[in-house]
Amino acid sequence: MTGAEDPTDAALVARWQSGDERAATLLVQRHAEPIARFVASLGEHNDVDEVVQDTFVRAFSSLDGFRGESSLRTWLLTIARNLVRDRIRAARSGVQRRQITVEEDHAVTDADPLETALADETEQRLRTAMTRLSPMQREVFQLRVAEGTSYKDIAEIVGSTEGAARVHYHNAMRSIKEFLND
Amino acid sequence: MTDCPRAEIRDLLPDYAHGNLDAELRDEVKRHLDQCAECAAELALLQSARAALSRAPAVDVARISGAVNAIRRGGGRADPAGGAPSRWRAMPMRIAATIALVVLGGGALYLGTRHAPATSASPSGSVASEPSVVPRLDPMVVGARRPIDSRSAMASAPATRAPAAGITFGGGVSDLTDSDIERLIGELGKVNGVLATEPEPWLSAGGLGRGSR
Repeated sequence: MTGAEDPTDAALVARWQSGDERAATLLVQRHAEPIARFVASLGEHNDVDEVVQDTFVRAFSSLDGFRGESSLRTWLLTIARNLVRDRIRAARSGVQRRQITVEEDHAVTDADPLETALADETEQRLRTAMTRLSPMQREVFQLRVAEGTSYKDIAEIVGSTEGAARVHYHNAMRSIKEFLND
Repeated sequence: MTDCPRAEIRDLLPDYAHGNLDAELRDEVKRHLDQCAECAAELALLQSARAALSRAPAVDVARISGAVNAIRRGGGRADPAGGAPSRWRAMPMRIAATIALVVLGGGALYLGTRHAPATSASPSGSVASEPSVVPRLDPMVVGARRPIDSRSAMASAPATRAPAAGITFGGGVSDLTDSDIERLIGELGKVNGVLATEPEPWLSAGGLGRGSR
């Protein structure tokens, strides 16, 4: 959805590299929200803002390493995913004592602000259904449904293949349907 | 809710919901939706799921932009946490500090041992103690219990200052025996002037009664 007044990511990156700091603001405005959604879907609820910032800082610190083979959004999502996984690993090892809802036991935490904000019953049931998915199914479903990410990009983000991403998506959809039909 | 057998259409439903399809594919999916209750139901489910999943936690765009722009202003990578340097970024400084400490310590130790012939040649009454981390270049401070490995250098290196009557003192007084202390006091009595390590001359010049409050 880019037009004459809506510069591409590549153009904004080039502008930022040449000293236009406003380009960074535009890029953050464009991508921060989907990244925050994805980060929250991975189970990181307490420090979403921090993870999103870390994601952008890491990305912009190594723009030279960005080969442009994927979209900037895909690259950012990949970085965000790695950051969350690192944090979860650190929390598990006891290095970092933070409350992170680890996506393992399909449990829904009462303290989840997103969960409590869902007033609609259908949405709540959907959220509950999603907690029954495996972590990989949930990641794929989140990216595919909430962000409209292609299977190719999903595969890159989660470190899998397009075929596997497709299977995860359809298995997730089947599981959700079954839960809703019960 | 059953599944439509046309998997290729179902694959496209999320893209359809997001408006990511070109006109031709969009029309094809739309035609299918008009006659397939399963896919229409799945699309409705997708739209509900999208609404449920689209609630994003608040992020501070200004702060994040500021952190990104700090990278350019800093001419390098900014701290992702926006605060204290990370462990890995601080590592070069730690290595440099360690090297500096080793060089300074080793150099000072070497220089200190250059004054040590007096120790090795000192009478058996020399008081030995643990060497300090950074030996001070004081004429009164010479020697060490373990003269490291530079005995030959110590023997050949000329002393730049005359050692003070063979006194060696490098550790705590509590390490000394009574006879050592008596001998040390006796040696100190022969010394003229103020010790270089003394910050204030009061004690040596006038005793405890003067200058102290």
